[in-house]
Amino acid sequence: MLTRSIIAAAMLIGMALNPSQASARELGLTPSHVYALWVNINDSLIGIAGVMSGDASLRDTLSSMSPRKFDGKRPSDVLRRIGLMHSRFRSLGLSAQFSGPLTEDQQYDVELGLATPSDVFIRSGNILDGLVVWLIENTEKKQQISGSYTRRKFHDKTPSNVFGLVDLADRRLEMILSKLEARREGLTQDVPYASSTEAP
Amino acid sequence: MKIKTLSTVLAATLICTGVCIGAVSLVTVYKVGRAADAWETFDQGAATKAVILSDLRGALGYGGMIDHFKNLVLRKDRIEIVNIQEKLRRIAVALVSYESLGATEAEKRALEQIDIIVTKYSDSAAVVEDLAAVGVASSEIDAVIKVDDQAALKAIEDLQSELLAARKASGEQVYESVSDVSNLVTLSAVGIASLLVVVIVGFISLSRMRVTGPLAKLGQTMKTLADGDYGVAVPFMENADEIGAMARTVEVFRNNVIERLRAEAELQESEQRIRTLVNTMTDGIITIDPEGIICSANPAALEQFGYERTEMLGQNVNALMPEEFARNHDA
Repeated sequence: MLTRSIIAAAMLIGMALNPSQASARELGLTPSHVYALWVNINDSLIGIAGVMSGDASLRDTLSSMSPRKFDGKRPSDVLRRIGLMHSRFRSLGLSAQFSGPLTEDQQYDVELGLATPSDVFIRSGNILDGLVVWLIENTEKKQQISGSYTRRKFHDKTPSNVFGLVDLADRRLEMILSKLEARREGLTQDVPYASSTEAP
Repeated sequence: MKIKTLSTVLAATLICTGVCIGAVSLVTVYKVGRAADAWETFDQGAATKAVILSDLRGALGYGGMIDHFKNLVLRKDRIEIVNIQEKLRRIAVALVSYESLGATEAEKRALEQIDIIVTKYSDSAAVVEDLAAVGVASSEIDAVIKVDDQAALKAIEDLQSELLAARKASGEQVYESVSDVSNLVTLSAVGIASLLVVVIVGFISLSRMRVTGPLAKLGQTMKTLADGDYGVAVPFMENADEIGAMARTVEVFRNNVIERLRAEAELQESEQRIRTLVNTMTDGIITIDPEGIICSANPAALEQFGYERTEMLGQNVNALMPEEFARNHDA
């Protein structure tokens, strides 16, 4: 009993000292699984930009953007960041089914730092589905969508790496929406490089 | 054995009983902890795996990924690709979760087999999409795309078998742990209760035999002595304990009283003998105190001086002398 108590205390201390690695083992899903999804999400956004604008330069600009480096992020930080993007996804035309605001349970987990890579994985999968549905609804069959679901394998990715890809997707999304807004207003000048919502 | 020794033995027995209860409690807590561990292992292992396996069946089989794939081939509706991928993610979560709970070699092989099949489906979805895009008929697509899902279904059956075996083993382990605790608690309760009964009965018996009984009898003897019957024998004098010491002390008091009564009787007899001698002798005897006051006079003295006893007692002896002798006597 004493041994169990000591082991339990050691585990709790270990989790408190390094919460991101401790929670990354939950259900066996790791930030690497989530990272693969966000690579596909970013690729899908570039595909969407090409479909929307028909402008190769926008596609090239988005392709040339690279993720910024972040440190010390946890799954809760990533989930909070994704939750903040829902209004931009809605502006793009994604339904709330794929990208609504965080639920009360998710907000609770985020506030207490309890979110896990599994939570982020499930929500990220919904966003990818939403983008693909957008592509299906806005393209002809010649636009292949299976590429958005390319199976990729990564190793040793951290929540901070995932956060960098989420940040990159958000900046790309902001640029696409700006371009879309400019087109609606009949403006033709180039849209300045989008400002980020969060500095690294 | 002395009462003090007896009480020490009793106290030691009670302390031993307390130590036994404490030790049994500690062992019980330890065993309960082991049972809880066994249950936790069962709950986090076989029970959770069963839930995951159920989810895996749902995501893979009827209404799952394979159904959506068939719909994709049949209807060539690209939205089915989204549905397939959604199911594939659920399958991926299930596979990873299952393995993270600790898998046997057979389970690992089955999980790997399922992963191979679902990867084939995922790759085939892209092929179906390409063929559909160039207008290939569903029947032709179906002829080209052949994914044998029997291996995946067999893998699920294998997982089910492994799980049943694991659940049986975990269940037996939990049952053994709980049974172990139950036996220990029962045996401990019976043992401690028996020990307490022995201690209580022993205490009551010994206290009646060695303390309260002898004290009552000794008290009765002391009361008899106090009533003046010194012929009674004092009991328990041969005892080596405190009761024996008390009895011997009472015997000493009894002997002292008997000795004092005998001395008083002898004194009384002696006085009577002297009194008879003085009263019957022909010589007059008068006793006086240091001041010359007459304290006693025998009948011969009363007769010689012609006084009654009441007249003579309390007078100065000078009154019995001629004046010249009386003056010299005082001087």
